[in-house]
Amino acid sequence: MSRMSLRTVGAGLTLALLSAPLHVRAQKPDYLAEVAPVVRGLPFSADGLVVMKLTLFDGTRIEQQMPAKYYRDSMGRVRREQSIVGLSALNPVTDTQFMVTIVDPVAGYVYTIVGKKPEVQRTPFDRKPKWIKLNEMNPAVAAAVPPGLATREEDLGRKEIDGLMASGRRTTTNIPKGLLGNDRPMEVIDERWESVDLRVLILSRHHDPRSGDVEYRLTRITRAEPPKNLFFVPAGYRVIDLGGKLFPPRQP
Amino acid sequence: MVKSPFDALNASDAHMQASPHVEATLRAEVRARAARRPRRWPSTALAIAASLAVLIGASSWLLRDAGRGDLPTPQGPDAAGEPLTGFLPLDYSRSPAGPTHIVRLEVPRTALASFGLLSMDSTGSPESDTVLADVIIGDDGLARAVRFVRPAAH
Repeated sequence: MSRMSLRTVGAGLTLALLSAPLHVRAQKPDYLAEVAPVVRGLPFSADGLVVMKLTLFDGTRIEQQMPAKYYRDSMGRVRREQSIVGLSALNPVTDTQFMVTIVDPVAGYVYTIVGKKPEVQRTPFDRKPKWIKLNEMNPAVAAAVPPGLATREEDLGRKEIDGLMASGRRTTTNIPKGLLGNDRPMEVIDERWESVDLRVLILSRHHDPRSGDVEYRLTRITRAEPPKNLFFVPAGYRVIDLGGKLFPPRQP
Repeated sequence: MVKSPFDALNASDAHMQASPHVEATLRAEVRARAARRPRRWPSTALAIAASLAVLIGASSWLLRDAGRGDLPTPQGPDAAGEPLTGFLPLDYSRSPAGPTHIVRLEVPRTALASFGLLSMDSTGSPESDTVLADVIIGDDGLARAVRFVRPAAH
């Protein structure tokens, strides 16, 4: 290795060592993990659809659709069948992972089945919201959405979506010109619409000019009691008890 | 023919030697150079070893600090395993979420490297191609954050 390249490596190593602790110390409690409210007496079943759209620089359009299901019974139990989206940093082969979640406030547990394995993760049902500190040391994410950007929140009022009255909120994050080498300002926009009556998310949109759009929508909502067996773990599944340690502590 | 005069000169110089002073100077210079040359290698090796020590130390410190900030110290091994890092943001971490849920996934071991986590030994069996990760998911299905977990001791 030439003397110049050794110098370059040395300088890079020094910079990395000096800057890494600064990233770690920059973390702050900035994320509130809320638990879905227990809604009794309003049972329903619905289909869901997650649509991801992206247009590449050469004009190629990519669209993926992932169906979902949502059930709630009169006791407030909830069953969600959906794909987790946004896992590419963990698994470059696939960005999504299918899972089934059963929230059972009656029994006091949350059950999760990941993929097709006959296993179910069990955690205690805890209604208390929790603060989560996000560690901003990940340079890839910090580059994607740099911390400390100004966001703007808007109340979008109410409107009817698929026969349900919904209230909406929009959050706009501004990425100023030049921050990421961009020649003009960019906006990342998130919209959430929740049914006033059913108290459930029925439409959400995420727009990012760099990564495309993701839309989640509940459709074909049927107000009837879903079959009881949907809210119980299928027979023969191995239960893995994850206890309460899956959850971070509450913010003092 | 020029060969015979050169042969004669060669024969006449055969008995000649360098002076003791010149010989001593030459020997001293050769010894000095021989002694100097190996020293370059230990100094380079020492520099590399020192850099490695600093790098390993810094990595351990980062992992320890990242895991300490927001998570309880486990009281002992149980099915939940021990968190090794704090929660690290994923692509949709800034997207506002309503109710969230945490799920444990098995992800490829290479995921650690994409978060700049160098220490692989502490995340389970080195033969395993996967590691455990707790992922926070919003009610819209978008993953918000991840932390890596040491498998429970059985």
